[in-house]
Amino acid sequence: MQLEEKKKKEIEFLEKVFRAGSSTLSNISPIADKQKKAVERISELGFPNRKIEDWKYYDFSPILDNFLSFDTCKITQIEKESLKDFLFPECEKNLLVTVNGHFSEKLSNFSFSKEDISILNFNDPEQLKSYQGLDDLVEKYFAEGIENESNFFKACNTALLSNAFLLKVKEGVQLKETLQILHISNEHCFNQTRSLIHLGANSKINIIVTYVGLAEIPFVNNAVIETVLEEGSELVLDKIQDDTQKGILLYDLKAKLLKNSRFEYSSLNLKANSSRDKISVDIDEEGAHADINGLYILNGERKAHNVITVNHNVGNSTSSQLFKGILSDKARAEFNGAINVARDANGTDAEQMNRHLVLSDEAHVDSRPQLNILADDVKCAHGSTIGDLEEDEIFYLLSRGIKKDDALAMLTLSFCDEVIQKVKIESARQHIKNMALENLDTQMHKANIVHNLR
Amino acid sequence: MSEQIIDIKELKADIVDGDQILKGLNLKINAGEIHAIMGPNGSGKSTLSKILSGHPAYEITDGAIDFQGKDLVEMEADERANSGLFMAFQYPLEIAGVNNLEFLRMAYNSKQKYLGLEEADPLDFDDLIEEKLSLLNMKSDFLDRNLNEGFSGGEKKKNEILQMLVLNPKLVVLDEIDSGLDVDALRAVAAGINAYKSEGNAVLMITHYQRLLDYVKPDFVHILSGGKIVKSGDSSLALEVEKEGYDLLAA
Repeated sequence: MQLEEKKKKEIEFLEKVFRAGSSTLSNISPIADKQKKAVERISELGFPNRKIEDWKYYDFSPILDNFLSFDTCKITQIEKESLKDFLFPECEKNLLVTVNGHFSEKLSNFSFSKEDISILNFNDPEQLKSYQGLDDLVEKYFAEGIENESNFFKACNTALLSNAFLLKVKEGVQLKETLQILHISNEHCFNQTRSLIHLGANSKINIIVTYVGLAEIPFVNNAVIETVLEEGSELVLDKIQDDTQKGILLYDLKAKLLKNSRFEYSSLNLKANSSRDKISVDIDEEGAHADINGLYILNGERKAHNVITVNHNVGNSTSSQLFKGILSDKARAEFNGAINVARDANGTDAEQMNRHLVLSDEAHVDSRPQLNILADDVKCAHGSTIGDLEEDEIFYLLSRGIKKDDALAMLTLSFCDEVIQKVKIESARQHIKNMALENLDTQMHKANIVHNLR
Repeated sequence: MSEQIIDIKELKADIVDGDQILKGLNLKINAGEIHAIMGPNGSGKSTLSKILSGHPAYEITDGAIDFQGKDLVEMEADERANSGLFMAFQYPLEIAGVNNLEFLRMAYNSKQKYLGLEEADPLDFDDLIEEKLSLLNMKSDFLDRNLNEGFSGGEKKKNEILQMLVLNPKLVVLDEIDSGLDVDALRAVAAGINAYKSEGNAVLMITHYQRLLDYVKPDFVHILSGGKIVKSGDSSLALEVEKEGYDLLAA
């Protein structure tokens, strides 16, 4: 793209965000305040470029080439039948669906008691206002720190806010059923999805969020999840990106962990043209634990970016990160993971591991682990490996009569398994395994393996 | 005269791009026989097992190996396995995410398919396995675990023997199967080998020490030194090694 043309497109993009942003102002004032601040922040930041450290390896042209319109995102008719590949039986009773960023009442259903959990749509002010303590919650946790937001696209999501959801699990409520949040894209558009998940003290919920593309057309999912875990609460959050090959996922997750809370997160990027996951975890009170995992399987010219920050703002807290990637053909992956331990955050125990399996000479990995430790009494470990499959492992399987292609597929699945096992739902694990195999080289006799391996 | 299982003639082999290790090894094994190859460290014992099973890091530079009328040298590792050659590894590999039972069934069915026989469905296969497990004094929860993952040294070796029993090969090469085993595990492993052994198959034990041979009695013992078999005899040769050491014998 010519430089001048690129600049023109960036400006056009910004103008459209401003216009769309001012027309979607919420009539709930604390929300509108944040939206206005987001617009200000957007103009301060300007359209991002590769000179910014966090965007060093990102290719913006698919966004600029395709997505200069925010008003075309509309809800389309979808039959539940067409979603069956993306629904997990364990979550049948509690399903929240959006189509191109819009809530679909028809496709959603909930069996949770309203006493236990509130699920509220930001697009329905009356419903939202009925929630006691809304203003306080929005002020504290919705788009927290928007004045200094570093992610341009999260600021866009805030400004353009449409169908965001507030999920509030009441204090002391431990939900046994898993909630699935399914975001569908099937139109050429730049859609915004957003959830604010608030866990009351000592509550617990499992949520699985899936981003699914239903049409082979370009689209952008500009997704934001914010979560706050009050004292003693536990959130298991699994994210599966199952977009079509032309989909682009821009994803921003921010988690705030309070005293003795526990956050288990797994991110599975299985399809899409490119995905960018910005993950920020703030451990703000002692005794909290964050377990952050990711898997990306890339072929063709696909890309995955993971920009992760775990902040131990207080001591006596623990975190672990495990990210694995498999790359073939001309795929590219970026892992940029930082652990920041604040001054006086003694008793922090943090670890990070990033492993890549690179199956082609033309695939490329940039792995940049960073440890920034300002306290004395901490335990931090990190590691990074990039390699091919182990010859001895392949040989072991061959020596038992297993064909080479099958052996390669088994070992590749085996490489993924550590992350896949973190996902709590059996049918989701199976789905991920199937997707993993689909992404592997066609010569790997996938049908045979799927048949033989549970 | 009994059927010939393997005939190794003037075998020379090296590590790919490395030193020559086997320097003209001859060995013939017939059905119904148990052979033991003993030798000091660096004599070429492990190389022999890897060459026989087709490890890609080792290459044959000269000589011939006839395995049941077929040229073993020309066969890929998986083909060798499916044709009835089994090597129990000195260090079995841990493979995360591959269920032990599924793996055994895949290996079993690979061989069935290769031989043009019917593949076993999961239920039939479970029955087949149960019987082998009890022979080795293994609990069935072994099967639910991942292949060798987190297994103790003894469990890994028992798992090798379990695979051997399931695949029921013509020739078994046991590469230091006794290393790192306590007495109970050694007994279980030996029980597995003795149960497997029949008039129609053969065993080649590669070992540094004599102690396995107290439990599995060899018909022939060979001393490997400097890449060649320097002495052959009956089981009394192993006792001699135990007493005199390798230096004396190789001299």
